[in-house]
Amino acid sequence: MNGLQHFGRALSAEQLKIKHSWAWRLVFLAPLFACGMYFCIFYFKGEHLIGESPAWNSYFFQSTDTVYLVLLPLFIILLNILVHQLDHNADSRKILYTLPTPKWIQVSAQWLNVVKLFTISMLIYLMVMLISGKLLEWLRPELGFDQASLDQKYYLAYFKGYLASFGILAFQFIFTYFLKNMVLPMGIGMAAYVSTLVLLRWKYIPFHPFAYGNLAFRDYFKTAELGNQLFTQPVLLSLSLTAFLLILGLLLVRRLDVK
Amino acid sequence: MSENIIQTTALNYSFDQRKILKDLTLEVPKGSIYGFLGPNGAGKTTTIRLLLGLLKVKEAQIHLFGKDIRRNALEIYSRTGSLIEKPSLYGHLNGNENLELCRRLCGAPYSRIQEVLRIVEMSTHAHTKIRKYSLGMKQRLGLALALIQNPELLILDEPTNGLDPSGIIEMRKLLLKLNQDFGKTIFLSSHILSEIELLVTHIGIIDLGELKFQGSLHELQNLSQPKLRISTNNSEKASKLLKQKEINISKQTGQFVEIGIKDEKQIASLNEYLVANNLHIYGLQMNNQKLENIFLNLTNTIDA
Repeated sequence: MNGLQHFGRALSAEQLKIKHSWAWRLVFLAPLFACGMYFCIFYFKGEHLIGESPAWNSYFFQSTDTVYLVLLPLFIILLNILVHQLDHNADSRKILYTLPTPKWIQVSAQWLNVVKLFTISMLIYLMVMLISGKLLEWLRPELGFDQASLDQKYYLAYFKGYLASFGILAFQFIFTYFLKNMVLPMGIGMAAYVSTLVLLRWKYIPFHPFAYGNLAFRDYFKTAELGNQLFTQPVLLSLSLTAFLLILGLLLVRRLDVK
Repeated sequence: MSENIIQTTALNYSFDQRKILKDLTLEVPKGSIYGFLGPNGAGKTTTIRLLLGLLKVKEAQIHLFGKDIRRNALEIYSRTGSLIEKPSLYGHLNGNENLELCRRLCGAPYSRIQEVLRIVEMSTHAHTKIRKYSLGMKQRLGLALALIQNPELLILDEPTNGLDPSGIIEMRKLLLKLNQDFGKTIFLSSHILSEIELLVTHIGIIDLGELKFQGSLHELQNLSQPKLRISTNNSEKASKLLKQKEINISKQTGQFVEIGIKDEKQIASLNEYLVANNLHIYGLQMNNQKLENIFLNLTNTIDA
């Protein structure tokens, strides 16, 4: 059996593993919560929040800026814990790692599964944002959603934020994979998250992995040149960190004793 | 000589500078049911994790199917099923889904799920969530997981752990069926000899990381000489006479002398010998040691 077949089987096993789980429910609930919250805010107090910029831009920016800074890191911490706790609670590695699929392939499939869940959630968020904006256009015509559609550059900014969040995703993935006790990875994640909020104006904040997503999303508002580039500093730092952590993780997995 | 499916050579393992296993040499013949016995903390689970490559060794000390586990793990895994301590089951999935998850990883045909459910008699509970299973049902499903890829070798760590007496009997029947009807070699650990003595063909006894005995059940029974207690009017004289015949005295009191004997013919000749030397024999009592006592003596759990 070749590596690709192993990989396909490991991926389909991962998919089955999360069926009926809270990790799978979170993928849908989290973006609905974020969008629902901003929908309510704009529905009730929209006239105070929309300034001179077009309503669509204002709605999308305010919601997504909060998502990348506040909600997304929490979502990533929780998602990783819920995914890995399935294995930790079942103590399943002692059986999974004695099946004829290489351990590194199983772990890689698990990573890709987390990436898939994260991507689905991000797509749902984008979709629900656009639908809820249309709903606001219909329910609150005075807000001016019909005057201009969402600026195309916001889509690029959103995608950059998505790529720049891979650093946190890999960081939390590694900790929750190796630490059986869910309190520890949650504690580490929360400490990193709180430090981002506290140190937001610190000159070295561009090097803090938990800030990459928000900084990449905000590139657009610094200079037009930065706004048009995909691989800006936070995106590159995030992808480099992801590659480093995944390689390190796979090396550690090779040496892992299942006790 | 029969082929050994599991072979370890002077296996040593330490954890935190504490020696868990000392020169462990296991030989598990093909087609056998090998009972790996030892008290709690003797090193049974560590041995099983080493056999399955879950814990790493530096040298080629572990061979399954004649192959080094460090270099041929995937091939060995495709021929081995395991159940270590409590079964690894996902509580949010049902029995069928748990089996399907492992089936996908090992590439077994889909029909195998129904086959293993039938073998462990769990077909009617296949669509019940694991969190609603009893411990016995979980053990059965754990065994079904071990069987999913139709392995030649089953490695089971305390499969009767936590089961009630009827559950133990059912599990015993199931394992006998797997060995006799399906030709599986079974390596199973336990800390209670009476639970498995009706099941196993071979036994290995481990204590404090050292193998105290290895062989067939018959060899274990032969390990201990039956004792003969001779009640006589003069046990001191009887003792002297027996020593002249180079017979070791295991115990002597004012009323009797206890010796180890080889066979029943020896009882008659000794009786004649003692009577010929003017001793009155009041009684001759044979005492066969129970297997449980042999195990307890070997593992130093009670005083010999």
